[in-house]
Amino acid sequence: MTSTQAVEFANFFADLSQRSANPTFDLSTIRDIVETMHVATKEPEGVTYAEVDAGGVEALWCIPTGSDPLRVLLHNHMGGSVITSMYSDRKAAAHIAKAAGIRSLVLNFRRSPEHKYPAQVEDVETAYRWLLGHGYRPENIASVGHSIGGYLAVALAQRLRDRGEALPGAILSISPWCDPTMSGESIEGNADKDKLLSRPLLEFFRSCFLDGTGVELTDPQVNLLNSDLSGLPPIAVYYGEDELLASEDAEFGRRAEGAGNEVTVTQVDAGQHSFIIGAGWVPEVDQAIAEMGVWLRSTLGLDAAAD
Amino acid sequence: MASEQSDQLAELNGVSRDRLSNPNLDLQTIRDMCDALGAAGKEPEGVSYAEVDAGGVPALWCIPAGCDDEAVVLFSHAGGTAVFSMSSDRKAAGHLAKAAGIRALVLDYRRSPENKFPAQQDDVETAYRWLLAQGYRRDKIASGGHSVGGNLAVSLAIRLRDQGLPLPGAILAVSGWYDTELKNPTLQTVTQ
Repeated sequence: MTSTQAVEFANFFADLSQRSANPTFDLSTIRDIVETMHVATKEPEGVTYAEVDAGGVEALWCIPTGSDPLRVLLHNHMGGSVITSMYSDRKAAAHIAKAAGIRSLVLNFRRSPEHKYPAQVEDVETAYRWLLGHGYRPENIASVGHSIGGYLAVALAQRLRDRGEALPGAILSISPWCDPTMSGESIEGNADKDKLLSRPLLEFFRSCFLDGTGVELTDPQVNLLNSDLSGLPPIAVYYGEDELLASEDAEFGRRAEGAGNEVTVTQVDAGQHSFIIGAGWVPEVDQAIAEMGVWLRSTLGLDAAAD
Repeated sequence: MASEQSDQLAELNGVSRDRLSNPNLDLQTIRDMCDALGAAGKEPEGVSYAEVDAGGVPALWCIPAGCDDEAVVLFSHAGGTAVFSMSSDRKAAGHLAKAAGIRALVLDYRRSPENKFPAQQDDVETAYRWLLAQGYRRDKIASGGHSVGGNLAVSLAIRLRDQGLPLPGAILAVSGWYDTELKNPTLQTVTQ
């Protein structure tokens, strides 16, 4: 049965979407409104923070007390490449970091439409190389993100694979935006249940992200369902039952597994898109984040190292 | 001479003031835009946070690593009672707590116009009494805040004094707003 907190969280998203959809608002105002999404995330206790220049990419360390010194989560925020930031994702990322006992580096990648594709992927790669330059080993890095950040988490590993470079040790892709053509059945089927995303919003995001770049919506560089998914590290896919992207995320999980990877797919009951924003008080979300923590520890070999 | 960074902050505030002067904005949007200014503060390192119900007043602990356990600064945010929040003040309060080596309790007091005077003073007093009930000694509590929060920091002590109650150990009022008649001559001379 759906918790009252999950219902309250969905209503919060509905209100936020409604308030930000005023057609007279300019982009900076919409960004400010959606930035307040973070109030839906409760402060995780026992985590400290530090801003850092990750090779030219603004970033924020989330450092749980007593976390592992050797491993790191490279975290990419939501927002279709257009909105939200490392600030609005701070608490959600810190909850995942705390569940895993591993510090998280939350990126403030350049946003579109000011910076179109591939600026975001380039920033993620820059930050990854910065981590390597600071002594983190590839297998001790998890590539993490949600929504567009869930796409970026996978795209980073694909770029590295295509160049024959060492891959991160894990990919945690939450509510990933896999298919900019929006052909999944839940785009229509979950239209009433998803309180954050809508077809017009996704159209706005993809237009900001890709218009003028010459990159097609079907291009494997931006469409994970059309891309080569072979030879990737272990992948955990999480998505919400009620989100527009549910069907494409399930399909991505199937294809990633079919391509020969070790894949685990979890559908969160009554989960909204980017449900991790409800961390700290929505039971379904906290359960999912606890599982992510266990998976990250296990996949990055932290439990084995502790034995 | 002001630093380059200080000039940048002033410029940022100027841009915000221009954007906020749009007469078509509703209060909720203005609040969101103000809260987004919180991004201008840099994260204080080595400070953790915890949300707490301070006797009915939502509040946020800012806890510097290795800080004193017995002292606390009770901190009220800026915003004329109408805008800003404990979230937008988190980092500034975290810096203050770290500089002092003591915890800060940042209050999310009720805002106006939904809750007019004296709701804000009532909430500060409620949180102060909650601290006493938690075992903090009154002489280890500093009453702090900035802008209207500076007013609240002083008002708390005045209210307690007038009731003949023990006073906090210190008042830290930053950029306090004291003169609601706006007769202060710098209102004209510094507006540029």
